[in-house]
Amino acid sequence: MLPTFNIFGYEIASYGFIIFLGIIIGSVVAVQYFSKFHNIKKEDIIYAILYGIIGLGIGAKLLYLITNIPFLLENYETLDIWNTLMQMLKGGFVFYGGLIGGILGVFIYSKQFKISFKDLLLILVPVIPLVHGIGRIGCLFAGCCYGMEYHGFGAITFHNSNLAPNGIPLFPTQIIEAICLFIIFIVLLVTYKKFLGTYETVGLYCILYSIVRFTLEFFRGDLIRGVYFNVSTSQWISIAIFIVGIAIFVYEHKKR
Amino acid sequence: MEEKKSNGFAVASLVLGIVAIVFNFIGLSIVGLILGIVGIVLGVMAKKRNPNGMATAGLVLSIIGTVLCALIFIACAACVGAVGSAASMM
Repeated sequence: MLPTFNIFGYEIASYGFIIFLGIIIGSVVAVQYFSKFHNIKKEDIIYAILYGIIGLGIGAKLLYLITNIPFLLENYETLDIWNTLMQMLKGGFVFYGGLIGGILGVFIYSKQFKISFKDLLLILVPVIPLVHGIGRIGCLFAGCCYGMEYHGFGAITFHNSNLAPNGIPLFPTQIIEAICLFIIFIVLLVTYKKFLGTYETVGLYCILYSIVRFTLEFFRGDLIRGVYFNVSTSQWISIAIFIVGIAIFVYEHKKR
Repeated sequence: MEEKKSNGFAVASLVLGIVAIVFNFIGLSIVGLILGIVGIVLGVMAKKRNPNGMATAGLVLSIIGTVLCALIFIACAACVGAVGSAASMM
């Protein structure tokens, strides 16, 4: 679609720019709306977000590198390792790694400055699907996270993509995932007051997103990612997150 | 003593933020990205311990430096594909 654009002679990646916009929008929503229900200074939420973003970047990159170890080992002799590593550092993130890294970043902030981790988490979790959904629109621009070959309604055909196969109609995984994520955001927003004070919101998010991700993985066409026993890395993590989500939701619900 | 230490964090954050921005313009975005991230952490620590103008400036410049470097360096943050594109370049 539009992987990059130029500003003052600098080539800017659309994905990076859109995810940046998403983070700004998500941060504003967290600070202006969700913080109202918790006794935490807005300043602390902003700092926690900064720590979370750093953790997100490191976690997403680490998991991406880990999932590519088998590829590197298999092609060790034919690849220019330095060039490949630089390419891997420049592009390639795995959302689940980012999610875990981001939560860890917020946890470190809460421990470092003795601020309630629970409150921070409850403020930030509902905006994750919002930011992620906006990020998926970035995926559409970049041509990554593309779907399998598909000739039905809504098929997308890339023409100048370095990532997606050009000229082949593909299943619109990016658009569908973005829509699902915005719906999850609305569900969390609507149920937020009902679940206030417990981790039920976190559990609900884990359950809903893991279902969406697990299902959409079957329609993905980017098969370079790790696949173990016919199930992708993200699907394995989805199963784990689904179980954790159910456990959190049921436990917190009973505690109420 | 604590105030002196936090001032040190603020100065370090300010310097790292400026260096990150400069590195972005001379094509060393990856180094700038790392320095910017360290600058953000130091800036937050300085702001929490002793909020002053220098700490704020350090934090803001580090954020700007990190964002600029990330936007330039991360040419294409695909969920996959970098390896594929690297392989196809061979």
